[in-house]
Amino acid sequence: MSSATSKALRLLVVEDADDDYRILLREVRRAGYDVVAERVTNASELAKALEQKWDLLITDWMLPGFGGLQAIEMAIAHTDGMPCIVISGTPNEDEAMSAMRAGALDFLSKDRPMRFAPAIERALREASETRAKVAFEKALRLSEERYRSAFELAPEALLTFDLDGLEIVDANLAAAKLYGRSVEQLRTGNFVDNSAVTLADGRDSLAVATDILLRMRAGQSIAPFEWLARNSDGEEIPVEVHLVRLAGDNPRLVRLTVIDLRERRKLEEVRQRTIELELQNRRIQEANRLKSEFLANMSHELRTPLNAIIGFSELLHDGQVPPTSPEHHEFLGDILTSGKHLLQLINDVLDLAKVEAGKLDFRPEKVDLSKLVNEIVSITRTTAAQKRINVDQTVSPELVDIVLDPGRFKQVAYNFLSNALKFTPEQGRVMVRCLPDTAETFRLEVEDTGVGIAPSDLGRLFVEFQQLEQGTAKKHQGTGLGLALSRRLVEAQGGSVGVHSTPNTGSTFHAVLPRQHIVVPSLPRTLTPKARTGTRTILIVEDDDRDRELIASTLAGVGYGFEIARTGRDALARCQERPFDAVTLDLLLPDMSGLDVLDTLRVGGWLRDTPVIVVTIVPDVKTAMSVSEILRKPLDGSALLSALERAGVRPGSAQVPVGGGE
Amino acid sequence: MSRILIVDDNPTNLKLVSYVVKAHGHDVATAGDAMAALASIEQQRPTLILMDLQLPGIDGLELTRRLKADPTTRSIPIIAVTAYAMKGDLEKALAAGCDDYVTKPIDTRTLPDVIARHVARAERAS
Repeated sequence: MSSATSKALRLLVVEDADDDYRILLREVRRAGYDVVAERVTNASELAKALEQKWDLLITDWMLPGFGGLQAIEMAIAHTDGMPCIVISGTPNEDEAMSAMRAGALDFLSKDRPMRFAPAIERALREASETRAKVAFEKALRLSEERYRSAFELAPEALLTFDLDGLEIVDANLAAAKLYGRSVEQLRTGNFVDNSAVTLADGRDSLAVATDILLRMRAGQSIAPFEWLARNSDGEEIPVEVHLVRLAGDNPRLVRLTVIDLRERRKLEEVRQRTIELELQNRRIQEANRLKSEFLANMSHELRTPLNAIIGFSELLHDGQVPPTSPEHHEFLGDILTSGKHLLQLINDVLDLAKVEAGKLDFRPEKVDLSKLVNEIVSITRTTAAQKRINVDQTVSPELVDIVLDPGRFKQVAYNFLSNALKFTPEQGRVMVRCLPDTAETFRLEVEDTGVGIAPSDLGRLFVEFQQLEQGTAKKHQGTGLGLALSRRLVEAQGGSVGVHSTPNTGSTFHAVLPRQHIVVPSLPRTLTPKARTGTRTILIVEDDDRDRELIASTLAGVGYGFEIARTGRDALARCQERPFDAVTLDLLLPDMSGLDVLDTLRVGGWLRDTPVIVVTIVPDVKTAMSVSEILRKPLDGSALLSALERAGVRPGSAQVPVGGGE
Repeated sequence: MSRILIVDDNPTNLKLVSYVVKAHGHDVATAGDAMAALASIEQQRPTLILMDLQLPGIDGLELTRRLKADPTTRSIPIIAVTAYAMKGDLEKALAAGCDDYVTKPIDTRTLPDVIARHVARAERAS
């Protein structure tokens, strides 16, 4: 029984007979073992030899003062399962039994040396198999322990759910903490029992869970979803659930990772609130600045007519102007005119204050629009004549049975008309028109051949205290109140205002008003323009803080509403929640490319025709997709406003079609 | 006889100030904007200028700066006459080079004295 290759064997032999030892070694070598052997004859020698490592112990059964049984017991006690074989000169059944019981793998007779080698081979094989099995079992035990402790002590709440029994079969400590129940209570409970009846989005939790269960059973994988857990106190906790089918022999087990979202939500809220406060602070500062500016303007505008009133009165009172002179009468006229101008200013300011306080009165009555328009044109006749401006007026004969407050209508028409006269050069033309709009509304239009307005300025026209020309070089006098007041008056009647303008060609201001006055509950408003119903809302997709704030404050400054998305995923979520009037899109977002976001939204139908303005540092962007405009960073706020104007998205004129056909 | 140039874009104010100035024996020239003012100065150098600060196009502050930068007009006294009476407006006017500052509404009884004082000083200097 020799093997082709020699096999190393460290052999320890307990044998007192030299011949027997020699025969044994011969047989072992013959079997092909490259043997290293040591012979001992008593307990102390064996004990010493056992300090070394051996592959196999072969022991004689009967030795003087020592025995095979004892040798086996020592070997097994001192080693890690060392294989032992007994070779006896006088074998019998009883000895064999006791040897095997003590752990010997074989019991051979010295008379049959040819059996030695096969027995050794078998013993070595058995020992090796035993060692492997022990090692495997140890590894398995360790792995299981590791897994258990990873499960038990994981920071996330973990549940194991049985798709067949519909039971939670296992839960960890974090789950117990989250749900306020013991692990035992959670086990054998149902997932739905530990959920709110109605989810945050209003869906029935049982129905949703059933749907998910069916999909899991059908072998589908389930994306993480938000859920409302319910703890033992009945408190509802927003959580995110991840479902994973457990690998192994039971395919019906599912691992649920339940992540408490409260902390995350709180952080998000704090962050959102911080941004809101910052923006609010900016808006307040801006409003403050505008108010100071407004006060300075008001002071100037009030002093101008007062200069004439007080100055001329002083001259007359001091007797410096003879009562018979033509100047005497003329100066009295100047005092009168200036007084009236002053009154107009004060009325405008009071009206604005009333609008701000939501206390504007309307006295609607049946009116003749032609008559009202005629009155307005008459009032401004002198101004028009001075500049030789031709004023035309038309009122559609369809517009009968109009019920509105004539005074308020004239106020708006007067503001539009005097504004047109102010900005139209000599010998220009101004047209005042009343036209049907819808069955319920009509349209007042005042068109001029004036200087026009730059697109970037259009958004500021109807905002309080905003005069397009700042500083002392204001060419056109005014309090900056007329158009803002007009807008407020029209909106308070449920209408809207708008403007269409071409620089150096002219402008058309219009108001859409109800044919029958309807009462619109007017709410107190702050002096700053802020989000209202009908405000255009822009989605700002931008991860850079500074750019985002620049865009947000630019938009807020002229009366746009806005929402913010910092990531592509956030943008997708927001667009699926509500429509936006326009989107500003950064291309380099932390989680995905801006163009991928756009692609998803366009293809998904969430942004069918919504204008998208790309704001990017990427030079030479090439996109096949429909993008309104591409603006380069660093961003110029007025360029953004102009782009929105060109896209037809203007603040606070949501119902008014602006652009062509006017 | 001293010549006073009144620069104001508001015709009523121009009329008022002109009347007051004439009544105190000065010659009066008027201008509604900066270009008209420059033309008037070119044509006949005034003894003193009453300058409204809010003018269309080039404003009164800028016009004052130009006149004070030009050696040929630097010595003409300029009195700002303005309805800007908020904090800082006086400083702005003086910084631009105005020699004095009068707010609207003007005092028709004291304005002639202010004019006379500056005219006297200008005549002494020349």
